[in-house]
Amino acid sequence: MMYPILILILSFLLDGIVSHYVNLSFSSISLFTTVYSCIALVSVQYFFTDSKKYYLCCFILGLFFDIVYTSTFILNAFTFTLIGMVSRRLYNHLTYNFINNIFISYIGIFIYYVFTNFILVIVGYLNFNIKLIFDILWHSIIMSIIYSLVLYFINSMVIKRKANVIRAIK
Amino acid sequence: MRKKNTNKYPLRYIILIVILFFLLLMAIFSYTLKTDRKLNVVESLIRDTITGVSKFFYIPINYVVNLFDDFNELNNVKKENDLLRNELTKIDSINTQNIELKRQLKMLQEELDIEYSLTDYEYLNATITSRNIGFWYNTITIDKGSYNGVREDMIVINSKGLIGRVVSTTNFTSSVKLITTNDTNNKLSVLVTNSDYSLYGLLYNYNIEDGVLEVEGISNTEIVNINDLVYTSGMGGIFPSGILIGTVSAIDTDAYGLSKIIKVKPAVDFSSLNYVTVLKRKDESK
Repeated sequence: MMYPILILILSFLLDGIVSHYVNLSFSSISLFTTVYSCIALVSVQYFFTDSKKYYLCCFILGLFFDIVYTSTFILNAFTFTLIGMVSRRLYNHLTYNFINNIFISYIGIFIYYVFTNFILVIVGYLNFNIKLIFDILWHSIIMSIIYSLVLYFINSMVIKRKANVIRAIK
Repeated sequence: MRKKNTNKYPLRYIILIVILFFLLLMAIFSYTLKTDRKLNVVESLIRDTITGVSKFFYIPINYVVNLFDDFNELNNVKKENDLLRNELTKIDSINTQNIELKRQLKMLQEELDIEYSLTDYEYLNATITSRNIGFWYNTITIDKGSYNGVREDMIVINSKGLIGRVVSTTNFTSSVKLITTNDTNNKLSVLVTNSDYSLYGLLYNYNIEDGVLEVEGISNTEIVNINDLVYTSGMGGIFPSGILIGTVSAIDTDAYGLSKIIKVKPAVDFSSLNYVTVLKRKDESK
């Protein structure tokens, strides 16, 4: 249980660190634009056997995201929980391999940007701009793929080690 | 044979509850997003703690980044040294002029009964700890908070020009909303000026594709020229007058083709902000 929590915490901190230091951009949107916390949420859900605990983790992580990074109130908590639910449903039907991990991670990023934009437009905070949404989704592809691959391979190593330990005990 | 409906609650009640829950959430989001709400004690504590912890991660990264920056700067040291030596010879006369200008300004303020000007501010330097996460909010977080005397609605600038205003503070951090936000509530009164004219306008939008701010409400766009300067006008009571926002890059029509707008290239490079200055009004900082 410690391992997925650690990954979530490190990804959460990575969001702040990457936003601060990395400004490589193409047409004014950074190529490193992605939400590392969302990708981590999707990647670690394999380690949560209890769905309720997983959804609670998603909610708490979203709450911290609201407080620390965006100064909103439960918007990201709600969004992260939604991403958790969707990824859980998808993983029930798909096997755990790197392509599915990338695919579902990107679905999570898609949900994050589209859902938050939808809410912000509905409440009148932003003007509707579909081109901007496409630009952001397009720019977030590279880092989403890279980070979900990194997490997948780390997860695989951890899973193999656990399986070896269990085999040794038996 | 009909199947018994084993659901405890009819479907229509579930749909009604979901719709009401959604409406309640929209109301909460609308209230919290449109008003710059104060963070409560728990939220302040969480933000201060996590920002403090993340600073430990910045130490090794800063070390590596500074190594590369220092190496690049070494190449320009001699040139900069010569330039600074030349500038230093002028400093005595600049100081004398400054004292005289301050004296004259004070006299004029008393004559015209002006409440404050740009020189009535203390400058508090701060470092940016995170920026624009989640993309839509256009905020940055700085490492100075109410403990350092930062309050809501204080203005944040750097040496190039206006950056934004403080929207929320905790003890040790503050959130700054940038002027490049697309928040429909964030409008700013500006003055477009050159030696021949001064025109008031309203900064209402940031065009992310072109990287320009858009100003509407200019009464006579025909006399506006490219590269004219755009400053804060001081109207509205939050932004003091005379802070540079940018330069006019184009005169265009708005999205509906109904009125003329001015496109302003920001003076500040928002893609590479590291250090900012908070303007603390001297009477507030006591």
